[in-house]
Amino acid sequence: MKSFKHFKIGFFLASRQIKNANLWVNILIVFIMTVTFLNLVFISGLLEGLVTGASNDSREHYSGDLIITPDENKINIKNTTRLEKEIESIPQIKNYSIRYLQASQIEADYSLFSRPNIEGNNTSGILTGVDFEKENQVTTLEDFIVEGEYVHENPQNKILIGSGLLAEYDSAIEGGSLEGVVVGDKVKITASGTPQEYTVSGILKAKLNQINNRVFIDKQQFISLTGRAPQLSDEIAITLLNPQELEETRNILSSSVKSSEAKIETWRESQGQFFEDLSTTFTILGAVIGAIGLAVASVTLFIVIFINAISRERYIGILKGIGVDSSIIKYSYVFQSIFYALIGSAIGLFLLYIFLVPYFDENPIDFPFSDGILDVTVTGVILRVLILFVSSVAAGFIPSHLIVKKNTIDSILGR
Amino acid sequence: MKNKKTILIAKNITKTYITGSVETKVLRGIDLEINEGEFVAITGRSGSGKSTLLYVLSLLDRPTSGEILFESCDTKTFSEKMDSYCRLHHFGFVFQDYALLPELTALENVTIPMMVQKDNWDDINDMGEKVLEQVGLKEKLKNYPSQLSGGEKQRVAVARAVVNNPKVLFADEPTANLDSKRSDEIIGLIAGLRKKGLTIVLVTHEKKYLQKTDRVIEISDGIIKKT
Repeated sequence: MKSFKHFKIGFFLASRQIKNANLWVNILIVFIMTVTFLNLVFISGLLEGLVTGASNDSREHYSGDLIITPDENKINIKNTTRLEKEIESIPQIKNYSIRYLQASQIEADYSLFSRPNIEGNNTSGILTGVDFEKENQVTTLEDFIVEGEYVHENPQNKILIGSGLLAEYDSAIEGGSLEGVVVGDKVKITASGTPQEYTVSGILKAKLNQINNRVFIDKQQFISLTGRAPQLSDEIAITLLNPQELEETRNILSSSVKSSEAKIETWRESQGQFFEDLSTTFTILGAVIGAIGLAVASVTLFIVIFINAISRERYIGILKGIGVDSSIIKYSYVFQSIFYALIGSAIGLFLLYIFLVPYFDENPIDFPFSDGILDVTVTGVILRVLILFVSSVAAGFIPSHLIVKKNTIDSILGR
Repeated sequence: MKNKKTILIAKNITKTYITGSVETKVLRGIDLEINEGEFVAITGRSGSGKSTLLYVLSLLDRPTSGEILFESCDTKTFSEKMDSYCRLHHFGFVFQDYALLPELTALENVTIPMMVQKDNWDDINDMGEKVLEQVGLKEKLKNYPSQLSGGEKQRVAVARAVVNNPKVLFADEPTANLDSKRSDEIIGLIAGLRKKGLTIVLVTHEKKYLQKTDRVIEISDGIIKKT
C-alpha cells in the first residue's frame, strides 16, 4: 500500500516535471530514444534480413519447399519415372521440376580458336536439363532473364546461360568465363565427351549460384547430349499448395524416395549448416552493434537525467527536507526515464512498421548474395522495447540515487 | 511556561565543517531546551551559527557531537527514514528563499506533504485550499511560484509548513527576501500560529520581531551568549 502510494506520488512529480520541462529538451530526449530503438531493431533486422533474403531466394528460386537429391555416396536419383508418378499423385504438391545435372565445357568462338596456338574462349559450368515450363512453375526462372527470352516452345538447340559464366557479368569466376557472348550467339557444349552446338536464347542473372553458374537446356536435349538414362536424375524441386504441410508431404514421399536411393529435405535443411551459422553470426553481430547503440543511449539518458537531477538538486533537497521519502524522488526520475523510453519506442515502432518495413520490402537493398530486407519479428521488437525499458530504468535510477544520497541540507543550500 | 512539556532538547551540540585541511567549528557546545507551544527566536550575527543550529534541531543535518532529543527520544538513533518521518509528521519548515517546487502550483506545493502523509487523498485538495485561504491566497491556488510575488511565495511556504499539523515550526530567516510590509505580514502569520499550540523556532537577525517571541536565544561564535 505504502509502495503503491510512493509510486503514485513519484508518477505525479514526474508528470509535473515533464510537463514543465523545456519542450526542446523533451523533444531531444525522445529523439535520442527513438533513434536508439531504431538502431536496436534496424541494424540487427537488416543483418538478419540479409540471411533471410538469401534463404528465401534459395527456397523460392532453387529448392522449392522440398528437394530430393541423391542419397549420400550415390550419384543420381534412381527410378525417377516411378518417383515422378508418386509425386503427381500427391494432392498437397503444387508443382515440381526434375533436373539433370552434368559438368560440361562451354565454348564460344570455336571456329576462330580452332587454329593452333590461339587460346580458346571457353569455361566450365553445370549443364542442367529441365522441363522449362515445369522449372518456371517451381522457381520462376523466367524472372531472371536479363537479356533474350525464356524458352517456352521449340526448345531444340536452345539454352539459357547463367551470368556467372559470362565475362560481361562476372569477370571474377574461377577457371575463366566466356567473353563477348550475347543472345543469339552459338556456343558449343561438351558433356560426357560429346560436343553439340546450341544457340543462346537468354541470359539469366540471379543472386543464386544455382542459377548463375548453370546452363539450362531442355531435358530431352540433355539426355540426347549426355546419353543419360531418363531414370537417373539429380534434383527434384517441389513446391506445396500449403507450405505448412512440409513434414506430412515428406512422410508420404519418404518410402518412394528411399527406394530411389535419394533423400528428401525441407528447404531449410537443404540450405545446410552454413545458413544457420550465417544467421547466428549476423544475429550476434546485430546484437553487438545494438548493444553499443544501447550503451550510448543509456549513457546519454543517464547524463541527461543526471544533469537534470543535478540542476534540480536543491528541489530534491527541499522534497527530502519536507519529509518526502527518498524512494518517491527516485521513482519520479525513473518514471521520467520510462516515459522518454516508451514515447521513443512508440515513435520508433510507428516509423518501423509504417515506413521502414514497407519501404525495404518494396526496395530491398541490393547486396551481392541477396536482397536485403528488414527482418523484424514481433518477439524481437518486444524484446528490444524491454531492453530499452530496463536500461532507461537504470539510467533514471542511478543518477537520482546518487543525488538523493547527498546530505539534505547540503542539497537545499547548494553546498 | 514552566509547567509546559519540553519538546526539544539539545545537549552539548557541536558542529564542525571540514573543507580540505580547513576545520570550521560552527557550533561549540550548545545546550538548549524548547518547550511545547513556545515561540523561540534564535538570533545572532551573520555566521554566528544560528541557521546551523536550526538545521541540527530540525533533523535536516546531524551534529558532529552531542544529542538532540525530540519528545524525549534520542534522535542519534534515528535512521535517515526516521528523520524523514519526523520531518514529515512533526516538523514544518519555512526557508528564507521560500523553497517551493517551481513545476507545482501553489496548491500542489501545499498538498505534497499531505500526499505523502495520508493514504486517503480525497480531501487533500480541500484541505490545501483551506490552508491557502487562511494565508490569503484563495485566488492564487493554480498559480505557479513564478507567477507569485515574494510575499505570496512565503505565504505558500508557511501554508505548506503547517498543512500536516506539525508540532514544531522551524523558520529560517523567513523575511530575509521580503520588504518591510511583507515581512511584518509573514511574522504576523507565523506568530498567529501559536494560538494553535504550535512550537515555533524562528531564526532572525531583525530585532523588531524578537519582541513577539517568548524567548530570545542569542548566539555568537557558535555558543549561546544570552537566553
